[in-house]
Amino acid sequence: MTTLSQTIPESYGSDFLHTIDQLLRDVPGVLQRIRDARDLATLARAMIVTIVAGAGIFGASMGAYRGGLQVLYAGLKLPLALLLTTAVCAPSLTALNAALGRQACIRRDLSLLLASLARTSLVLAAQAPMVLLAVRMGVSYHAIILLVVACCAAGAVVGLSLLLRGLRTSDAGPVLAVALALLTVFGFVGSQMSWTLRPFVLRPRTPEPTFVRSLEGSFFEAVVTSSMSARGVYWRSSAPLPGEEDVR
Amino acid sequence: MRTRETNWRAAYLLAAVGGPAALGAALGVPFGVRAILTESVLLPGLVLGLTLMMAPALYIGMSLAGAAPPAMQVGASVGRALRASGLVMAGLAPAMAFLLATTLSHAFVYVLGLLAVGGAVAAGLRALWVDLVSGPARRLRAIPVFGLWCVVSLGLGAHLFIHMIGA
Repeated sequence: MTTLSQTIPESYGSDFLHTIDQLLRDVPGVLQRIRDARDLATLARAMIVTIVAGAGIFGASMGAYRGGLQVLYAGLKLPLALLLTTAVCAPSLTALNAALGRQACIRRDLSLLLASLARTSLVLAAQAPMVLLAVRMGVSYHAIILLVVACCAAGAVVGLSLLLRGLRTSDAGPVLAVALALLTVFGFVGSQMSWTLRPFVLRPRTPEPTFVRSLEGSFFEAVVTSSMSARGVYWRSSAPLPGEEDVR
Repeated sequence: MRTRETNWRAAYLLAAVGGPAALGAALGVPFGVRAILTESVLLPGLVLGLTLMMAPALYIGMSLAGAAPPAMQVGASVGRALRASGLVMAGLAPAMAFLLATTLSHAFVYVLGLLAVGGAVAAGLRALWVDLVSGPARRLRAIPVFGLWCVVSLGLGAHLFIHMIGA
């Protein structure tokens, strides 16, 4: 099968733009490049820039709900959340591959993760106008949250498909076990990383946007609290504003 | 000059001991520096001690069921299983350290700790099963023995692990 890298002449743009174009239109070529460990440094740089730009655009669109400084804050924090999560989880993928008898190479595994997230970021960037439209139409805070979750889910599905293809083509060992374990770790770490770097959309009643809120427990404790609130069990009379003491 | 075999053994030992040490240190993060140091010693001790205690029982049981390879091979398989679980623990240590450094709930430490160690042990048990048992007839005889052995080992390990955290 002829890949894009074989049909595009060498005079086509820079390596950087070629890599991003390849990510969109020639996934087999990207995976082959990762498998061959060919110029992974350039690939990784291009993927990181793509994540910063793509996720930054989507983050900025989330921050546009509040406007002002929140646009800048959210535009910086979303790529940061993705990249820090990748940095923390990449050793897990290599360790899982090594433990389950698959080929394990931290450079290739990191490149695969970055490529998956870069593809996700491109999808997020493509969906940013939808969020902006919803903001301009005056859609409510909770509806914006649901829209953002749906956009992130769509981006995640696209990125996940690249990850699974990469795992399948890199080695014949157990793919499902590695994928499920990695997704579990990524889910836990990504949720907590996003929680630590919140807020992104910013509640309307928050007086002033801050870059991050103080550490008030974990994402999972918040899920437990919300599920109890949904059943009508409350520990306090109202949710604390940033800076307020959490009295239970 | 070190032989290739010596290098392999050193790598196996590093994974089998270093992985639990790294994960143990991560589990101690919410409890302070002393706990980081203590648990980086206790978790490898727990893993290796439990392995030394339970490995002979596995060999005896598999032998009685007619499914055991020679004793040296069983020992080598146990070593590879320890390496596999140690590698997973080492890989999960950064994620655990981050999660536990950013939570205020100590209950979370038990839940995450059990998940991480449980996942690593599962990888080790899988490696042990694949290494030890070959052929459908042997596999059939080995399933009840190996299954019971796993249940007892995991039960003992979980009990000791819960008492170890925050010690």
